[in-house]
Amino acid sequence: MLIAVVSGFVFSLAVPLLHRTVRNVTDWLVVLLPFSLFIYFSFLTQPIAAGGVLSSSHAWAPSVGVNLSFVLDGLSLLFAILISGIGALVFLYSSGYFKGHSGLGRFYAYLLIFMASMLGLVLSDNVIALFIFWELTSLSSYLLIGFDHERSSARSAARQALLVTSVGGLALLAGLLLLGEAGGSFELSQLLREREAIRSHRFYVPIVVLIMVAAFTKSAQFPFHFWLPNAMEAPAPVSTYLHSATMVKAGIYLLARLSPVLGGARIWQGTIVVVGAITMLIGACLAIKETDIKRILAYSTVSILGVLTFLLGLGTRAAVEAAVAYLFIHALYKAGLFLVAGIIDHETGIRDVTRLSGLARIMPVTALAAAVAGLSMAGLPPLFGFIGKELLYTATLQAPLANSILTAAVLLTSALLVAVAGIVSLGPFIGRTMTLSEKHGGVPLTMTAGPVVLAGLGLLIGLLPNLVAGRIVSSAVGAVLAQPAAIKLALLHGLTVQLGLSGLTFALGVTAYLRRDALRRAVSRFDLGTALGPAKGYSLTLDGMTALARLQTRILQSGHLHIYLFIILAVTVGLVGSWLVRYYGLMRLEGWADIRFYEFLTALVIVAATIVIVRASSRLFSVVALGVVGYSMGIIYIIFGAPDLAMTQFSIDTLTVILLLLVLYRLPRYARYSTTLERLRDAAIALAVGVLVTGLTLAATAVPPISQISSYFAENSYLLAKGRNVVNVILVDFRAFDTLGEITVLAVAAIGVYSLMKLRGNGSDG
Amino acid sequence: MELPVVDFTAVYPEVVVTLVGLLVLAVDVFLKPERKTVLAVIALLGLFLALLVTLAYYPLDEVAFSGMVAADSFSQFFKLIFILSAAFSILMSPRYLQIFNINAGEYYELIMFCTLGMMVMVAGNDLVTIYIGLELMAISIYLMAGFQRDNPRSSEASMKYFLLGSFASAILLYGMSFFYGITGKTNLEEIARYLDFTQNMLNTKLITLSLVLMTVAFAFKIAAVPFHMWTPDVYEGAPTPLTAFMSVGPKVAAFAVILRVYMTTFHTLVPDWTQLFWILSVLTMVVGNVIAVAQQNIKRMLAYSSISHAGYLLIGVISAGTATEIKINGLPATSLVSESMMSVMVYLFAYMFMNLGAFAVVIALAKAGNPRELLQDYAGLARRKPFTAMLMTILLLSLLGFPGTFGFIGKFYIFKAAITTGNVTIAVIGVIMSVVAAFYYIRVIVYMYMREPEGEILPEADFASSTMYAVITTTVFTLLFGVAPGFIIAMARYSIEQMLA
Amino acid sequence: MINPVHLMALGAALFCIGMLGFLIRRNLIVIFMSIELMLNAVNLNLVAFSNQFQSAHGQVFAVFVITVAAAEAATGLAILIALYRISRAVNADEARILKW
Repeated sequence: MLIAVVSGFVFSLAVPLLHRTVRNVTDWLVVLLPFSLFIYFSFLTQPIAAGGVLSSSHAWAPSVGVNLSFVLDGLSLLFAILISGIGALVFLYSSGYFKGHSGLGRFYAYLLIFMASMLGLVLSDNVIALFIFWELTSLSSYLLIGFDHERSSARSAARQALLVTSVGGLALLAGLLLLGEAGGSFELSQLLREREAIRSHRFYVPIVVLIMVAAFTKSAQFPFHFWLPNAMEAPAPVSTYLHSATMVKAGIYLLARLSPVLGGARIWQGTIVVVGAITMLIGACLAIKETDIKRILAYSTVSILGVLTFLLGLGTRAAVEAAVAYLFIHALYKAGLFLVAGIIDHETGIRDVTRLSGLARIMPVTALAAAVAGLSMAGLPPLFGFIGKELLYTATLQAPLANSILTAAVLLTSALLVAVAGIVSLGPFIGRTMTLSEKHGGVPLTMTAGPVVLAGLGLLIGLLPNLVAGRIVSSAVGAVLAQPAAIKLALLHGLTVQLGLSGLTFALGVTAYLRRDALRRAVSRFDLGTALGPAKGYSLTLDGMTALARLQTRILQSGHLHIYLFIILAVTVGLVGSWLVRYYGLMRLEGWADIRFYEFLTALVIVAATIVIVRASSRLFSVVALGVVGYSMGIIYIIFGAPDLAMTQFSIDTLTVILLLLVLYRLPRYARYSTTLERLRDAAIALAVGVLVTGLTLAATAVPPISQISSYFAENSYLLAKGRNVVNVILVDFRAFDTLGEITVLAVAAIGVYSLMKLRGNGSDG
Repeated sequence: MELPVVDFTAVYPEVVVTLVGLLVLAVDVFLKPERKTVLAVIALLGLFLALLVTLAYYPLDEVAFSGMVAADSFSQFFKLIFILSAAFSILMSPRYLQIFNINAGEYYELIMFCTLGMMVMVAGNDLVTIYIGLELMAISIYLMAGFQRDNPRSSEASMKYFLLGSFASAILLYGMSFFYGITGKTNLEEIARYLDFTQNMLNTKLITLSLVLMTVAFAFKIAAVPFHMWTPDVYEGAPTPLTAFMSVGPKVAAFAVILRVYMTTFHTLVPDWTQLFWILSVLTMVVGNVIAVAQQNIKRMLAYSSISHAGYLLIGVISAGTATEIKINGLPATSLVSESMMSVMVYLFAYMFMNLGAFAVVIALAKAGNPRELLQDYAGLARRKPFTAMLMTILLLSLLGFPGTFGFIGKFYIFKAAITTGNVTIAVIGVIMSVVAAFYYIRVIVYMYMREPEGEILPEADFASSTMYAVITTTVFTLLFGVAPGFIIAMARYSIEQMLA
Repeated sequence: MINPVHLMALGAALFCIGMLGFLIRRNLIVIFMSIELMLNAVNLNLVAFSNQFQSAHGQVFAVFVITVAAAEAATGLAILIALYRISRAVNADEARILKW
């Protein structure tokens, strides 16, 4: 299985090169890969249906429990077959759609990366690996949507899709990390065993919320549904493959995959049902409103995704059965219809359904395929879609509560979708024959093959449902329910309520189709989803964030040095203060009486000189005062028995004063730059800070630490051996390394100063 | 008096870097201004030698120079980062220095000495050693930031960094002086022993005061909000190769010191400093990411993004701190501690590659008289320079933490560490802020691939090969370690186990 | 005889005045000198503690601080002159081309 996943990635690297050298062969080579994968997975249906599970594991970062482990069960197999099978058709289609396009090699590469990631996603047993493939599908879909980036709408659509799905991706990462923490493992098979622990874990609610955000963004559920129609800027093969058959179902896959672990609780089931129901209704209404054929299909996909979500939320056996079957059915007919839409767009350049008509005479094969797929979408016998609709009604009728409301909602959605099916698969082909501006030589076989095969399969499975029921659907249902299931599908069950509902749906749908223009106007009047819809919310969020960012920048990054300093100081004081308030004690300075007069005098001189430095209006005064401070410090060092230090202080201080004086002669005099008011304000702020700092420092230093230290030294008396004036000895012998550093500091300063002075700025006076 | 035995094996990398720095200085004197590129070659060879020496003696575990130098595999891990980041920065430099008329050989000397300073800092096992290393690093950078002397921005950046930086040093020293005042020691191990010994009778006020002061200083060095104000201004004003270097080197060095000092010496003060870092981390992530959204200048955007990365890294530090207090079955959870510390180290390694790479792309685009740092300059880059645009895309995705890149590995371990140690709130904030980050990183990609340049389209300059080598190498490593991070993880884990043992 | 606590108090005062200077003055030279004051406060602390412990470590530390401070001072002045040459600015608020 590793080979199945990796082959796509490896091949994607080679394809652009191949395309440049052996163009004609490449087209067939790229089809061959998904096709052979399809054959491989098809052969696996037998052992899987017999209850087997294939798995393989490869260590990646085992220390933290991240492995490339793959498991193939019924659910994965269903997806794998769809991915590889539809993939083969899409690759074939692309070779016709992009004939002669210079970037075809690149396109194949992106598409292969996507296919491989999607396979990795559905086959991963490790949730972190799953997340990685999940993000790779987002990335490759971004590249694919933006492939035709001549149009500005394409790039904003691509960005929107990537942003929305990457929000979901990060939510997924957080959710999966929490899940791993709650379940003690990142392997899905392990997590399944820990489900009780996970459901009672305190992280359960955050996990559920995060996973749902991920699934809903990926599968375009309300309120994140807006990105999918906008992503229709993508070329038709991409829309077919990503936005109907596979990628958007990844969210559904995630919900299905995790429902044995997380499901059962009201928050899980209830939220999913409600969101799914809202999505299916909104999707269907919006589909009616649109006139662009691809956007219509996109909204109908949103609606179906809502149906699938809704069914998973119901969680009963019948509902899961319906969901799995419907997922399969939808992939077949919707991929077919998208391919048809691509053909129409490719041949006529028109995507507006109100302007398309009579194409059946120009492209009869396509029209036939479209009609069959459309009938499947409308749910008419003897097509696979009909079976799906029956199952759907069975599920809602058997729902644990509110089954009449749910059935009504599904009925409404389905009726609208019947009308949509008519609009897209019937409308463009009947009526007055259009005159095409260009003479064209018929639709290439590579492009018609896809719709024909898909529509044919829909018909074939409709007639012989048990071709797939036992092999694929049963095992997939079993995987979702985490218990074996054996399902028989049949086209007709006799006269049941479901059949009646199907008939009603169709009747309503046909009525809606006939009055489609009136309906479109009616829906447009409500203006769903533009004024206050989530798409608006998306753009408001972006604008808001940018505005907030600007505001914050203005406040925080004014470029004024002293504002920076003030904030730094204020925060420091605040931090110190908040920690010290707990310990605050009164200042106790003992032994004031013992101070000798000259000591006091020295201290006084220092303080006075310091104030002079800060306040002086003459530069010379400040510098002299700085010197005074330095020398007084030297005196204090002598008092405290540090003559070596005092000598250093004296010499360095002299040096500094001389340096400052030299520099001062090059600079202008002090001048008052700020107004008195500003100075007062600054002084007030500074004084407040100063008082607080002083107070805190004194409070902190009030208790001499000596008392505690004596016991320590009693224990470690050997450390006391050092004498008084060994500073230089220590410097040379013990501190060799630091001294090396110190000398280098001086060297660096010298080099730097030299080079800064050496080069004269343009037009400077030197 | 008995003289200590001097064991130079502990400091071979430092010795090599110093000697090469001096060699560059000596050769510089004999070179004509237009031949200064020779110095870059010498410096690169020297750094390569230092890299070999570091690896040849790996793993070390000794304390040398009377306990001042800890030559352990922890410091070796970080020395590798410094040597690599210096090497990449030097690779990016020659062309930039040429087109912006900065023909000073001192530039290479200062980079070497700055690297030395950072190496001394991480090897420092003594407050004095750490201070000396920090100053060596900082002074070199103050000077280099001002090297573009005909540009007032450069001088201003230098001035701002100098004033705020020396202010931070003063605060650091003030804090350190109190530590000396409490314990009578400057050696980290002795301080730790003292703090352990007197745990219940400490002069708490003084300790918290000095802890807060030191934390402020380190927060300044890692550019955590609200001590970050200098970062964007200085990053924008400084010559870009230096910006690349200073966005990585000092930050990594400061994190290394934080890990060593806070985890080994201040481990009795964990509740205090985890709270402090918690506040800083949240502020840093929020402010850094949100402001980055408003930026139109790529250099400034990368500055804010590097601020926000410090926020993520602090999450790892906090996790390590809280992990020391977690008991599993009554025993300390050592594995949690080392996993959390490991996450920070791995992230720093990843950050080095991806950040340097992104800056290298900015440098590659620069033209004489036009630094081309605006977002608009990147419009349509994919058409003009498809290969460069692809590399930049990979680097940006890595900064965003996209799976398959080294950046993802780092982010994954950080968030995992946070969740396993129970810091769920901050992990969630981190994730939300990553979403904001996605916005501005992706915007650059959109500009490169899908936006047409406005106005006159200038032909791209010939991309200097040495800068492109830096871009390619960093990207390759970003991808390589993104897929197979085992080597780095094992190294980081080993060094932490050695240090905590 | 003054005791170390008094010295610490003096140091604290010096440090705070230095910070005040940093905050209220706009002239770069004065801001610069304020840093020197703050470093002096640090040295006072170190010497006081060194005396209290009767250990030379503090004095050694102070020697390093003084020397490094000298290097820092030289650097700072060089930067100041470079800035003045190009933009004629000696006032902290004049240097704000870099913002936002």
